[in-house]
Amino acid sequence: MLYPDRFEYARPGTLEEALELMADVRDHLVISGGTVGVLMLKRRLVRPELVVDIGRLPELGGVDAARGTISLGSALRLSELEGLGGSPALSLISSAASSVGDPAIRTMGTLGGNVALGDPSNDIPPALIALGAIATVVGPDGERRVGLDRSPLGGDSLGRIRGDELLVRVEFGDLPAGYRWYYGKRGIRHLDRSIANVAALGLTVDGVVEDLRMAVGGSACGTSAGLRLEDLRGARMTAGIADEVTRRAMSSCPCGGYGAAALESLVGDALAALGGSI
Amino acid sequence: MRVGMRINGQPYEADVEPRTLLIDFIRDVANMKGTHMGCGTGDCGACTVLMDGRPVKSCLVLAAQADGSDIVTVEGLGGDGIAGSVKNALARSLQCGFCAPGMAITATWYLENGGEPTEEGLRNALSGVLCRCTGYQPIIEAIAEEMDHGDR
Repeated sequence: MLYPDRFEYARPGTLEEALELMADVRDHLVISGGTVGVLMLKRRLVRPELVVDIGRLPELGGVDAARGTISLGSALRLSELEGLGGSPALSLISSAASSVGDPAIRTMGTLGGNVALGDPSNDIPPALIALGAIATVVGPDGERRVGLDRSPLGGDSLGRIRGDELLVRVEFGDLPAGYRWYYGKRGIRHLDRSIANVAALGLTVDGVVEDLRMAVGGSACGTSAGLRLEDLRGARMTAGIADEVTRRAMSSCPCGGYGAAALESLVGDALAALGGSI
Repeated sequence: MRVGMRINGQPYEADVEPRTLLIDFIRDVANMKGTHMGCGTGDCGACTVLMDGRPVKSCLVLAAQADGSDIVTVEGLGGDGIAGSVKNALARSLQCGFCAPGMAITATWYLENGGEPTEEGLRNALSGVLCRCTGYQPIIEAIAEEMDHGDR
């Protein structure tokens, strides 16, 4: 039977209190929704001295939109993100959130967990990379901002968020109504982890690319990564452009076989959704 | 540690180990055995309950996380309205019934929150509850039929 080893539990009332606990007890595990953390405890992949539950910290909640910038608190449930919309940027986040697991997993899981854990198959990181989001993390040395324009926040090899830090919020610029957006994933079933996923945003005027942003990820890729596509601005959205974007996507992902085929098909779907005529 | 919560409207409080899972608090402290432990990994959905109005897999929630919460289990679903229609549908469409608590809680939550009783909507809503007997089709059809004929 799966059951966690013994640990102490704390539910701090403030962000400051949470950081103090994390600093005092180095052997800790932070949980919010618990969909991954509690399962790791049950499988005894981790046996921390202390579990710090940050799921109800008021400083980590809320959606704020002011002066063209959208701020999402890290404790927002994925189901809350699912309900966002009204602009291309929020619709992209909503689409990525609705691709995570099943409804109960989405009402448990949080933005922070999906972003900070560094699992390459997670759905939210590619969307944030495509949006060029900025993450605010806080730790014993204070607050700092980390750009997500090319690579995700989490991941052991990246070390962009440390074990004594917490993700507070992510921010990104809103985009005007003319932008099109796309999020797609391939897995065994819709509710499974992504083998490959693609998030993309684009603006074309009379068939000419004004802006094109794309991030790819999935377990086959090993990490989420933003593509460099700025040089394609001003080009006509033709089959040649589609081939070039596909080539860059494939070169950013070391996958082969099914993973490569899945990624290639997703990039094709994304470009069709963005350009319409390809 | 001291943990307390309301389950189906009744207050329960107990000294438990921090590692105690919500499902064990429900089954062993509140002595409500309707919520079933299946896979224990959040995949099968048999243990789904409502926590402060949202469905959670109680095998992946620490009882401590639910401290102060309102919990609704399958025993707390009423016999009338949408919950009654869902129960009627499950009574005539399930075979072994092990998934019944997760199906009942999740379908009722979905429909009570404005979800449409369409095949696509129900399949998506129930995608996190596994049934190894029926192939799902009888369940989806029965809920849709009950919602067509029952109180909404």
